[in-house]
Amino acid sequence: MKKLLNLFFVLIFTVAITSQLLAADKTPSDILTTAWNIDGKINFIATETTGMYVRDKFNVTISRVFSLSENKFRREYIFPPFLVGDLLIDDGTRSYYYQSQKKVLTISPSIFEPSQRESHNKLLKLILRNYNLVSSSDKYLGRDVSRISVYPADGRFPLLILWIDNQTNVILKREKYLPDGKIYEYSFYTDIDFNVIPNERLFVWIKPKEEFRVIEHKEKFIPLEEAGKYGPEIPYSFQKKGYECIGIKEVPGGIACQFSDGIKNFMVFNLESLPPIPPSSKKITTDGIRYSYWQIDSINGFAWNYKKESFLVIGMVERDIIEELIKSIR
Amino acid sequence: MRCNEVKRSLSAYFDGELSEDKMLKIKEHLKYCNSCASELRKIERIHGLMESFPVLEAGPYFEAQVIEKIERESTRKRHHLGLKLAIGFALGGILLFLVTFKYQPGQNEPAQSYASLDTYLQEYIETSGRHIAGNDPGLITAISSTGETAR
Repeated sequence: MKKLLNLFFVLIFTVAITSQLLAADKTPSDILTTAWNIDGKINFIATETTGMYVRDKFNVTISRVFSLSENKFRREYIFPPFLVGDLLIDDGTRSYYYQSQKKVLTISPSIFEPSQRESHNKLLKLILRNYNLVSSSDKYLGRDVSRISVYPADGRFPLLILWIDNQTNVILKREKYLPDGKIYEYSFYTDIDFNVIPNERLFVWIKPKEEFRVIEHKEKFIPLEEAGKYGPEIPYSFQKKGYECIGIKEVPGGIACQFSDGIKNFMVFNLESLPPIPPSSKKITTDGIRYSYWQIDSINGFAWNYKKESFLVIGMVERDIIEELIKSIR
Repeated sequence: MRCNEVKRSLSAYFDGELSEDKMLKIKEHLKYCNSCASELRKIERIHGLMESFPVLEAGPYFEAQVIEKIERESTRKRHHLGLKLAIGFALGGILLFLVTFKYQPGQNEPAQSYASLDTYLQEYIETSGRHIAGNDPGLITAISSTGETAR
């Protein structure tokens, strides 16, 4: 019995040392790439807390999450009170989000669906191209983790920090920061258990007995190669300061290009007409085009009309980039 | 017969265009009615005067000229109608333009759309958040006006 116990401790020690050594051997890019691609391929059950700073406050959700290594995911909300009873099931093909109090079912494409994965992978490429990665060893939930800090080339503060489990490569904690160092988005797991395999039945959407309304979001992603068909007014080829259009999709009243440099994102909407703009917006003229500019927390908004087209830009984006964009659309 | 009825038929009586019965009745009336007899004499005098006028012959192109004049007149009327329609359409167009664009801003000013700014703000948060924050539509619900709006 004593021998067996000794063997067990030796085994644990070996695993710990091996995971440290393996992490030490890997470059920050390798660690990030592995973590990026592991999404949907690991079994675990955990509690997840997410927060995002919008409209002068942190909006927080707490949920119980179940991940099955076949691109399947389930989330049961436990906070805030108006989300209790809400349920998300992603079966790898479709995502079912049921709001129990509102009795509304929203069906969207799965986050594991190829076009979503494609733009997810493009983000990684952009991060690796535009940012500097710094890795350090850390502990989180008593586990050995690699702390990857993502720095802009000309910035003092990291814009993204990830705590990646050395053993499973799962991102256990993430924090996003503004260029001035203020945190504005985070998510972290607690009570994580990698030793269970969630039951397959948890990932099957079962219709509730009560009456409910169905909203189906048939998000139509347009391949970049086909973007030209939508006319020159779609600025898909615009590239500045590392930003690239990583996806085009249909939105209410028009079409949108999602631009990203890997961390910072903005969307350019080409619409039939503009929505009502905040009255507090400033009016600025650049190169003969007058545009409206406003800011909600870290998110900037720009709106202008050019000829018969209406453009709206929302995102974390510098004004000079938008002015370049305005000029490029002419 | 009454005088009014006789006077209305005197010209036809003079030309002999009435029925025998009516001719006799008018003849009887004229015997004792000086007023109607006086009217008949006036008609006889006018006819006598007209017979003394020389007969005028129409020129060789009279008919063609009349037809041309008639056609020109109808074309002029058509032009007037076209002009009126053009003016009508122009006024209608101006009115439509004013009604449609009166409350719309200029070329570079925001126009109104059916979707709200929140729709696009959520679209942005959801699209960019999906990559980093994971699959958390509840967070979007929480952000959108204290959970009152779906997504």
